[in-house]
Amino acid sequence: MGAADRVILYREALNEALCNEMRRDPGVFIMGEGIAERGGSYKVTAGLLDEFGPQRVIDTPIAEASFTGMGVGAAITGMRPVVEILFVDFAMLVMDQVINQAAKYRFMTGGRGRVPLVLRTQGGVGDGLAAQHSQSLEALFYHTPGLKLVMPSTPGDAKGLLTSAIRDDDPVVCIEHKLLYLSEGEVPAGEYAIELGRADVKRSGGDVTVIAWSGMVPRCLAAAEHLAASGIEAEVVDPRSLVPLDRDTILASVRKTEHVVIVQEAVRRGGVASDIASIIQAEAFDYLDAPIEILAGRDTAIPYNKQLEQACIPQEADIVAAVRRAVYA
Amino acid sequence: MLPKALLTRMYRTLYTIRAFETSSIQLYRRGLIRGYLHPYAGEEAIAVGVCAALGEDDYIVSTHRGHGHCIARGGRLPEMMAEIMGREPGYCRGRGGSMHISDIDTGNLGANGVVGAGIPLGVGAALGAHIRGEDRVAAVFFSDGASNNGVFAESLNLAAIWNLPVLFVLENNQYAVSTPIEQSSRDTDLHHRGAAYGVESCAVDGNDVVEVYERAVEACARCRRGDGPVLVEAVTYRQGGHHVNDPGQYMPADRVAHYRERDPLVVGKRHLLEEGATEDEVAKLEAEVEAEMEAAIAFGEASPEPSVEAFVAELEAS
Amino acid sequence: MATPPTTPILMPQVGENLAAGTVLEWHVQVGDPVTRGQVVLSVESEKAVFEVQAEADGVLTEILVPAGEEGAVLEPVAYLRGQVDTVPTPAPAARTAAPRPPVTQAPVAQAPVTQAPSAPAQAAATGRPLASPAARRRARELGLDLSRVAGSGAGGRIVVRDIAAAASPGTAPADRVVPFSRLRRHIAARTSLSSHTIPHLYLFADVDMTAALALAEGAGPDVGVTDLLIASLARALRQFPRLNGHVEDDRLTIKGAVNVGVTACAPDGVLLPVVADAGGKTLAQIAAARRQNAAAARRGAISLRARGTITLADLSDCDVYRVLPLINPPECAVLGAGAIQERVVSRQREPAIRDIMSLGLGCDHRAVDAEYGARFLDCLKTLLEQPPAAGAGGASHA
Repeated sequence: MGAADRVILYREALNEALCNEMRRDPGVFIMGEGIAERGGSYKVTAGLLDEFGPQRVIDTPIAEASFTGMGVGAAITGMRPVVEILFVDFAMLVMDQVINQAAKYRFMTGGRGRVPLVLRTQGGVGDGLAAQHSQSLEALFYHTPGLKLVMPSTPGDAKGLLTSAIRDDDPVVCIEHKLLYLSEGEVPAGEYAIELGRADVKRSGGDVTVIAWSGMVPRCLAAAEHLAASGIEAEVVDPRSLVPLDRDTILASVRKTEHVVIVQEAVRRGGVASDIASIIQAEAFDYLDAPIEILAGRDTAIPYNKQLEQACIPQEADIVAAVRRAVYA
Repeated sequence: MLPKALLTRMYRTLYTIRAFETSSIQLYRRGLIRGYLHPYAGEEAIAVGVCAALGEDDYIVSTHRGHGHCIARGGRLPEMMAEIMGREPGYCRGRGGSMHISDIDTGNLGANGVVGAGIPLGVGAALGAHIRGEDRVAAVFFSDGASNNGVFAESLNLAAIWNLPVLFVLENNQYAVSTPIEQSSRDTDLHHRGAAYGVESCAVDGNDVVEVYERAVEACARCRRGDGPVLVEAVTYRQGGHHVNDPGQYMPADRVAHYRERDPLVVGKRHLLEEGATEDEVAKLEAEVEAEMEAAIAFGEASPEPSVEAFVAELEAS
Repeated sequence: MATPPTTPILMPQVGENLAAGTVLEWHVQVGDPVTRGQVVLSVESEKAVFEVQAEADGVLTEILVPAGEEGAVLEPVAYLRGQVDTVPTPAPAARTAAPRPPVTQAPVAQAPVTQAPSAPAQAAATGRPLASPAARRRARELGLDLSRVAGSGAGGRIVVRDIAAAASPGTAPADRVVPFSRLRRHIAARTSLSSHTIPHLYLFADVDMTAALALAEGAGPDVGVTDLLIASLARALRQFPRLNGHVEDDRLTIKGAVNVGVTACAPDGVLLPVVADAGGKTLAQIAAARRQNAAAARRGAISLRARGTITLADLSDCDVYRVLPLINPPECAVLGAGAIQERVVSRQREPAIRDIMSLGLGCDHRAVDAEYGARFLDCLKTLLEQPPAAGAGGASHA
């Protein structure tokens, strides 16, 4: 632990990133539902209204498409807005503004227009929030040229990635995980930026490469401990940025271990895991000792009932089983 | 004045909704309900008054705060309880939960977890009926928060230009989660928005079931005559925060007290007594409802959980 | 004269996302002359009516899509035959259909379904062993034959740990039994006999082959140094005949003819086809006989008409300069000839570079002593280094 590292919550780490960047750059402002007085539904923006005032900490009506579009417009004209969409499920209301406008503006203007917008949202299965509040929709943003996409799994990564996202001159989507807001981790104090496009090996191991992001990372680390007791050492690689993707770190790990398991909370079909698998297959074909295992969410909306809900996404036991299959153990 | 039988029915429904919400909160605290629970307590008169004015073949669409509408539309308590407890015999087989509870057979197209999303669904139901030449009205419940969403403006306009039989019921409880209406609307008389689209609009006291009912009857008649949609803004107030885990500390005490005095159950009971019912009759009615609620809760608690194996098999077969 | 090119008339793109248009009316008939820019047909889409012009002069030769019918966008609806040199080569019709996905090779093993146990892999239809890409790479690097490796992965797939086990120095590599062929058994018996029963005496000489090489060169393309060696050997044996004999326990039978058995490669070993009566043959005849013998040996069969009297172990096409060959019983001697190598030698006490061949003579010490063998080698060396004129003989030494 570095001298300035201390243990804080994921939501506090995000708060620090916002606070530092708002102090550093008067162009940074935040918008979203209930983020001002109330400090946000997940308390990420607590205290910011007091320090920065209502002009830079803006409570919006329930009008996602328009306030996101306004964020795009403000970004084009010199501001650095951080727009919060309370649930990634509601991002469906802002897709025109994000995909047709923000993602394409720089290209369509021949590079002269820039959109330094950050779209913050959160997703993933929580505790019984059911179909419209539990999705993992990163694939939609992953698929869109012109967008960057980060998904922090730890408080340190959250602070570092959000800081870099705000400083980036192009639109960045930051998808947090609702179950991680209260997770703890070591976070450097002061300004802290993690370069986008750099993966993090969360755990080293020689037998199998386990690739996961966001809420699945802690689950994979737990599975890795379980596997270590059987003598199987898993290397857990967290891409952190899905776009741009750190292929080099992933491929180096694959070449080392020759066995791959990718764990994704989102539905398998058309998901990021499948794309990463195709990259590995193309670039490290001769290093695969087993077919690439993909664990993903089932092909369904998330049910309300708890047992059904948990049956829809990869659990620790599933990860352990997948690793065993991959290493023929 | 309204007939006693109608008032009795309406009061019974008011009381049932209140009992259901109170029970739900308790069940939530006991861990039998999880996730989100948005109690309708304090707003009952709107659902009851409007649904009492609807016919059997009409549609309703509601919000995330949808238990009240479901009950007012004739939802069966045991199946509702089972649903919000996530059990197989629930209305949605335990898969929808509180925010997605629905009963298609009674024309209840469902609660919705996305604010405003139900509005076009309801207008669409009216469109279908219109094309088929059927005499149906779609009562679309939505919140003041939803009235700031683009989809409301578009839906209002479409219903207007196509003359659709839609009763837009704007439940103005004066908060969008924690954001007060004054911060999100310059003109807090939200029914004024209807006029901008050429829609007949009015405001009612959302805590007075009789006023709501009478306005709703007029509105439905208008729709059925083919005179187009109607926007009714029913002003009310939550008894509690946005959802079960929100204490609503941002709600000023004096306003909370003001609306407590005007509790829809108090108002509804007063109407009933004025029409000749006795305190005993009322007490008896309340006891019956409570017994029903007990039975419904027991049914819910005894209901089986859905089978994971069957669920997975179903997924793999599809 | 060049055939005039045929130009297609294409259905135009009639609207975004529209795949077909309908021919409304043909304004020309088959056989009509057409000029460039002339409107030849009208087509209709959902949205509008379009006129289509000919892009070249020519004659309408064929109508593919008659009026009233649909044609796919950017596909031919008719053909023109144009004048030579006036019609540009038409660009190939652009396809508007989505490109077909590249054919992927069906994976040999079934990929496991998410959270379901992997299906057992089928053996590859081609009969190749089932192995993971990493295992194949490792096997290639180690030069291992996958067909000899047992697979421990799903469905019997060979995986990396199987390669590691097969190649690991810690574990003993698998044994492989190779039974002796008939020839091998014969060679084994003969060499054992030779080694056990004949007391071998070895003598060595290095020969300057400069003159011999020139002579062989001058004798034509079919004559090689080995042939010259055989000829010189036969001549030398006339002077030292004891080395051209068959030895028994108590006697030496000096043979009349010199039949030189020359080592030749057979498919599974070495054969000793004989150049019979080498002393009575010219160089060309020796060369021919040796070539025939070598060819026969490569086929695995040689003529055994003549019994050898001495053997030449010819290693001249390897870079080995010295060999201690085994005598082929009951012969008395064997001569081993190594490669011709450039070496630094002393000539008149000055260094010089010469083409040197090392000769190794093995003698049966029962019949021959060192001094006799040495003088023979000396004679052979002289014959090779100073080749006499053809036909000259020499007195024999008894």
